[in-house]
Amino acid sequence: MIYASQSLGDLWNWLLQQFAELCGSLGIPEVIRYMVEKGAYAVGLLVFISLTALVMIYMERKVSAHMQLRYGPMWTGGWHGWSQTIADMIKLLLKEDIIPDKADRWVHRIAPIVIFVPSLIGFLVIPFDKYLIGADLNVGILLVFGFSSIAVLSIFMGGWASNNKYTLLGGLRSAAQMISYELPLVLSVLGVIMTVGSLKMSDIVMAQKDVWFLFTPNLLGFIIYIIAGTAEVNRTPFDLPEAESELVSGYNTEYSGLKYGFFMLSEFTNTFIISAIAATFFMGGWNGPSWLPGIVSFLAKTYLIVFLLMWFRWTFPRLRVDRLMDFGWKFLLPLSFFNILMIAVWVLVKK
Amino acid sequence: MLLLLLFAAIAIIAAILVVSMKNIMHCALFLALFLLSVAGIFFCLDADFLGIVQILVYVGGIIVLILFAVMLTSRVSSALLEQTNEQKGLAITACLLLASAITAAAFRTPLVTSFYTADPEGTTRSTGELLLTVYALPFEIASVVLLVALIGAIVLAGKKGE
Repeated sequence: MIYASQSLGDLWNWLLQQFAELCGSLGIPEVIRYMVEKGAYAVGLLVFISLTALVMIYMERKVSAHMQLRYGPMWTGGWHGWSQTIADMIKLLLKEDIIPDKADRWVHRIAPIVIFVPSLIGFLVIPFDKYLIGADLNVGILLVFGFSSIAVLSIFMGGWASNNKYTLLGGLRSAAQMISYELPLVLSVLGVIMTVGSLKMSDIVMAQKDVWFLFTPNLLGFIIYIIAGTAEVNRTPFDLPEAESELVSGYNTEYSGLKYGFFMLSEFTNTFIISAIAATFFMGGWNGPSWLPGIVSFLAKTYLIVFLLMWFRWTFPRLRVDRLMDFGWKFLLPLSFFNILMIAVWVLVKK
Repeated sequence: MLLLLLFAAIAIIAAILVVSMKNIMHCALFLALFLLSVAGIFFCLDADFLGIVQILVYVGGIIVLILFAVMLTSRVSSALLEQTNEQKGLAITACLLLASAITAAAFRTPLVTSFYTADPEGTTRSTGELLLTVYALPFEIASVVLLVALIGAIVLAGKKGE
């Protein structure tokens, strides 16, 4: 039986058990059962991703507006302009899809897909709740970083195929920045992995049952992670790839309609993934007060980080290219090496 | 097994396209596809750590480096751009030698269809342990070689600015 106090993860697990029993009694083969289970999860995930993107775009506009003493969207849909994003999405869907005359047609077409698929794969290993994880892989966290590095390819493809100097410059800047900041990002997470001794997402969440890693020496890793993560998703103060005042809109200048929509959508899903991993690795994931369903405390933590990133975006000025590189290579990277050394000593002492 | 063959087929087609496409940018992108499908083959063989490192290092690192070089060259595709050079005979000899060496090696090793281990940690932990115990010397030598390459690159790039 399920009770109201139990969370979505338990409900999902209960449904799976019921379904397995049903399949057992009807004699449905294991392969089909597995496919139906994963298919249902994937559909749920896609719905969740679209809803998240809608919420985050609305949130971005509202947060930015209030930081600048404006109201933001106020009219569409009535209450505080809640349906503005939906209207915008419909507009994007109906817009004409323009491919520049001198563009490399195929590369130009494929680029939005190449950026969106890796961010979908990243969602697979995010533990939303106790049983609510697409695939609890042994290499969990590495999967996210591995596939997010494919996004660089797409930015290159989009920037180059548009045959426009602004998109080319935007693509180059973006790729350089993403490679530079990927190192501190991965190294900052390494501290947590060393503490837990596993790359599995569920193990990392379980290890924080009593105390979040935020309140251990891993705090330094958290700070490095947030800085490098902000750079990884190209947000201010590291938004040089799409600096409006210099590069029109960066690598996606020549895109329109649904393809531009995909670039924008993946920007928000990547922000969500970065925040969700911060919540999982440093803030205890779905651990929380027992009266609160796991998914609620997970989403609350994630959106706290999302809000933090938005706060950065609308209050900090943009960095210069050379300073950005200097900061990444000469300060953040040595600091993350120091963090690893410190965590290693701490783990040894604790033993 | 079916998936494995699919990835292998994609890998071979992509590899042929890498050397036959006219546009260097397209070549580089097909190289990325090739490396991704090799990672897919690793996943099919239950070598999850190797597969993800393949994506992280080759697609995320090396391909991006190649793309940087390609994007900064002014003429990516042009009829004047030569695809081949004069050393055809030498190239064919080298390829044949390499191919025969690989075939000989392939026939001597038993075919492994899965690297599955009962260890719940998968291959990651055992790979790490082996790297730091049995294969510590090759591991360290590789690190030193990379360090030398890094210092060399910095020296070469730094001189120009003076």
